[in-house]
Amino acid sequence: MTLPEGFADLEPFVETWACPDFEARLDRRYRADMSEIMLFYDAMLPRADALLHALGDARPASLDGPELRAYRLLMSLAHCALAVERHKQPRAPYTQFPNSVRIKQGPVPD
Amino acid sequence: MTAETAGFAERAGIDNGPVRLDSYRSDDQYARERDLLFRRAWLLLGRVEEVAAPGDYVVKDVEICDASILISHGKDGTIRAFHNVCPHRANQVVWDRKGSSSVFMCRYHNWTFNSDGSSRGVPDESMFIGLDRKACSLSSVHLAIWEGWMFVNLADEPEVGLDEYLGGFQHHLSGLAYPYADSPVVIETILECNWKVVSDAFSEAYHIPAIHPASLKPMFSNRHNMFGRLLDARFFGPHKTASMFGNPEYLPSPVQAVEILAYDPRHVAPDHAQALGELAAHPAVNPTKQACWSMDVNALFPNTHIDVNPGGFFVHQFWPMGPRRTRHEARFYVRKPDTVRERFVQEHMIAHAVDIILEDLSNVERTQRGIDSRGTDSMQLSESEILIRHGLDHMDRWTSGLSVRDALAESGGARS
Repeated sequence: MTLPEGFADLEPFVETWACPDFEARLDRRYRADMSEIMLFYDAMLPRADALLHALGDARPASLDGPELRAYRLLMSLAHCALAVERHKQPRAPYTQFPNSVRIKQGPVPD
Repeated sequence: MTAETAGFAERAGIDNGPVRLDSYRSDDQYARERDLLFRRAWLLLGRVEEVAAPGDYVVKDVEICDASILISHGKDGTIRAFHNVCPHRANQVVWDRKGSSSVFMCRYHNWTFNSDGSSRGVPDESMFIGLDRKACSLSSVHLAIWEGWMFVNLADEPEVGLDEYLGGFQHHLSGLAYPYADSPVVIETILECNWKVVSDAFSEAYHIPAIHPASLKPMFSNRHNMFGRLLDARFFGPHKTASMFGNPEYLPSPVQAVEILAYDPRHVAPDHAQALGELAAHPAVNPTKQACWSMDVNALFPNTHIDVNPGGFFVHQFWPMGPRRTRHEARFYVRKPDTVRERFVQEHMIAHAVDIILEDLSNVERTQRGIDSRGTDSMQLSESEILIRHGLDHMDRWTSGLSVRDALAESGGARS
């Protein structure tokens, strides 16, 4: 099992969305099409409270294994929410992609 | 609320007319900016937290001057700056961007230097006939520190000290707490346009309803102030501050379910609100102390903005790499998270910030193409764009050949 007990329904999203750091998650969202983002968002939204309840008080740097993967899914939800809830498309309108934006130092920990 | 006719240009002592675009597309002007501006001004290169402990070092580029600057926190506790150049055969000494070490070693022939820049070792020294070891130290660069900000001056002898350079601006911002200064998120972008085009893009809120319709407009304008007119602008020699309008009624809409979650104050550490409250209480933050406030741009001449909003402080820097090439660096300073909840809030905030930066930066190369087309020779600038007008006026003073002291003079009289 790659996710904590009780979250097996999110298993199909691990390979695509459990990206290791901020830049990878940003890139994943920017490369995705909207149907892919909606599929993930719709599956995650009803589970967000439960995920925050299960993991929310943990120290991010202490996570490992199934918890780390669940944490990464939660972080990707923040990215995909901007596509769904603000722009209604994967990227902000009229923005360049690919582009030269580099996250030289992301939020800590990854 | 904002004044109907703000009178900012008048307050700054500059004209209201169109502003010519020549300086955005001229190789000659770029050379003058290199020699008369970037080689004479005090340039903000970072914060002391980047070299917190003795032995810590960081390397910073000032591309327009072809300079690689090594900032070293010496074992004696003093922070110094050097040209990152070996006095032997001029190779770059430090190849990584930061680290901690008591010795710097040039990898070309293993010449070594102490953390205070002095020469430590010259391999096979007896083969250098008449070698002066004092001349084998790293070449110093003038460095000065103001409230944790590290500045360098690339002139052989700076015409004015940092204190005089900052003038009244240092009193305006004096005592400002910079929460989480040791924990920046750093976003870098290389853009094919003049550095002033990028700087201009972060100097006004008039563009927000147009360029940021979904990402920022609901926060920066409302029916009382549809175009984000400034709350205030103040001028301190070449430096200046603009306080921007914010929609005090802004809340995520009910369909923004994840955003509501990310705004939930329960996810944030208790001491965070206190730190932000102390920041907001400073007289220079939201200087008119209105509820309808979004952020302040504190524009430190020539190429740095130290911005403050209700979430903390952040920095934009605009580094010229060529007449039409710019490195933009944004630094958002965030609390090191104790919990996954707090980290989730930060992920959303930074992802949102990157969207906004991309909206701005996707626009600047289009602007440069327009400038280069010579379809227009000048810009029409509104009172809401006073920071741009003021910045260009002061750059003119520096690049016209005035002494730094005359260029810094408060009134424009020194020019006539």
